[in-house]
Amino acid sequence: MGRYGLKPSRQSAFPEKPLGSTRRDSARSWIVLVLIATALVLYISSEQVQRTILSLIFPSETQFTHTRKTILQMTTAHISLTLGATLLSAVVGIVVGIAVTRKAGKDFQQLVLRLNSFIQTFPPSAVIILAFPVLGFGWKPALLALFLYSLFPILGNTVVGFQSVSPAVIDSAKGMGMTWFQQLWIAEFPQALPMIFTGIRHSYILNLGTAAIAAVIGGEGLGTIIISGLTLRNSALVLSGTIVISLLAFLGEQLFHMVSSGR
Amino acid sequence: MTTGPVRPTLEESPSFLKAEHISVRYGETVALNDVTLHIPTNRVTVLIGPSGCGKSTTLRCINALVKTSSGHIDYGDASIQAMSETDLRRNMGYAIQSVGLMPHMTVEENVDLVPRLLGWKRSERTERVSRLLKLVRLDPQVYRNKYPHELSGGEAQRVGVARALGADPPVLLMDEPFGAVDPLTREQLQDEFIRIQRQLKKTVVFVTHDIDEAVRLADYLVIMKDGMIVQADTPEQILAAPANEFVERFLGPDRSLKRLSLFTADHCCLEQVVSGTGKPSEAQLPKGSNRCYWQVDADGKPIMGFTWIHNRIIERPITSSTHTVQPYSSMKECMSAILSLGMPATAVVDDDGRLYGEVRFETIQTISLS
Ligand SMILES: Nc1ncnc2c1ncn2[C@@H]1O[C@H](COP(=O)(O)OP(=O)(O)OP(=O)(O)O)[C@@H](O)[C@H]1O
Ligand SMILES: [Mg+2]
Repeated sequence: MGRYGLKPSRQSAFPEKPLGSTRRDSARSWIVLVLIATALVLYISSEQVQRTILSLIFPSETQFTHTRKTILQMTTAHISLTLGATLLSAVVGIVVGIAVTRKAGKDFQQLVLRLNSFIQTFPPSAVIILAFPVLGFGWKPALLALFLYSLFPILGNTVVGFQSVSPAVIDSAKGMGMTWFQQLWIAEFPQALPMIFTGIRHSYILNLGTAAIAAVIGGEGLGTIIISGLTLRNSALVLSGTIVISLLAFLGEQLFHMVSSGR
Repeated sequence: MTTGPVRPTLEESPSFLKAEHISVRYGETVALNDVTLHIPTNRVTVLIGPSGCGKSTTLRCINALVKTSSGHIDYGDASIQAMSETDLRRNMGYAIQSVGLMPHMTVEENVDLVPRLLGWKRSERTERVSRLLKLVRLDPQVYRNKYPHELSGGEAQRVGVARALGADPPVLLMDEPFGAVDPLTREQLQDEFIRIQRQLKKTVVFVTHDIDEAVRLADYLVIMKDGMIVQADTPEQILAAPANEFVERFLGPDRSLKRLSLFTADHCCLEQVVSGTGKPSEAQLPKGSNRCYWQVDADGKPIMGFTWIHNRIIERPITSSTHTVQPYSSMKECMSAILSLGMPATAVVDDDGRLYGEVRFETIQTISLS
């Protein structure tokens, strides 16, 4: 049964790949992935590399690293926060998304979709600043704020993904005697998957950025170096944090791209 | 000479699938209004009627996709309400009107779906998919690995039919299964359907808009209108005696001809023939303008027909295959051959083209009046 459910679809949201060039594209994707990963590892693991690059751009600057924390530490915290929040939102978003697209939960569907578009209008900084008085200070509140904020893209996309399954398909699935679970797993989920995937990707990128702002309420990510760069008027520090976040974004995009096109 | 119906009568097919006084309401709309229908076992029941008259709804009640507002449906000894929906549906292949193939699965995976759900062995299944695809006239080599969005409407429909046949269910529910197929392929599929049905003897409920298809396939024809059954009987009976003007209009102005298509030459009217290898003398040629003499060649193939018209001997050369018929040709085709040859009868030939008998115009007349 697993084979049915998890096979990536060639339909809908996943871009159609031109025939014949699959192999070359696949090789190219891997090369890009390895390049980004290498750049990231080189940069975060060696202060020498950071110093060399940053001094090229800001020759007059003298301080290139944060006084208390290494880039490696901050990156680890940043990744944990981002992935943790994304994973949580994915699990909760998909489960709730499935629930409200079932017969019993249909009543809540409109509510969920409306809440989704409402929350999308909040800028990330507002989310963090609003979270502070309510949730307090530290990485746990940061995680909670990120989770709540990134839940809705996944939830919304899950609902839309399941809504896009044609009634004829559901009908024929029922008509051939599929159980409730088989209908969900074999007939519907694979068709909703591209949309869900897009939601997860969106939410990952969103979290990557919001996690930086979360430094103000004690999320110990790359926002720490960016904020101290801003207070010290040291652009090199801001850039250093930004470089890593950008590389993480590229890496994520590339991974999502490769998984969704089945390479 | 037998002029009775060719097909077996329905009395031999007691029903194990019975809808008793079922009604279905969608809000204000009454889709079915007190319908009672006993589906003859191992026979083809065809539902026909104008759009929106409740044909699909009837099918969907049978496999419990639609709940009846009143009345009940019995499958065997039990009411279907009391059965597990999953078990019920696995006994019934359903080819739905809108096809509904899984877009993320290949043709093969789609056809394989039900056997797979039922846990059949892989080796058995692969072979079965090929057989089923051939049955609906799709080349397995070409279509196996295609996705539904790469198929034409008619091809997708045929895959839908193959999928419904997948696990060899005893009951088949088919909602306009050949609706989007071109007339030629449709006819081939009907032939194939009749051939398989003779072997497999499934209990089939078939919905169509095409009265010719209905007459051709039905053992039991159900004509519906506005959520009610107007007339349900054998096609012979309905064509001979439409219950009201609606049915008569529905059958069309050529219903007498349609009725003729239900009888085949061998079942009704193989007459003794008068033939010889030479031209007939006046004494050899049977008297009356309703009889013929057939001249045959050395192989026994008819080459010329003779008859009396206004006290003169008329001769007509037999030059084309439309001038003769075969034992399994329909009476409609016999009629056409008689007209195209311009004789009071047509020669019936066997598979090798040898003279086998004749069908006379007067016999056809008798049948159409009966
Ligand atoms: N899900 C539904 N909700 C509301 N009304 C419905 C629904 N399904 C069918 N109907 C109505 O019930 C009636 C019967 O529909 P049904 O689909 O059985 O017709 P049909 O005979 O199959 O027509 P067609 O030949 O066009 O397929 C129609 O008036 C239709 O509008
Ligand atoms: Mg219909």
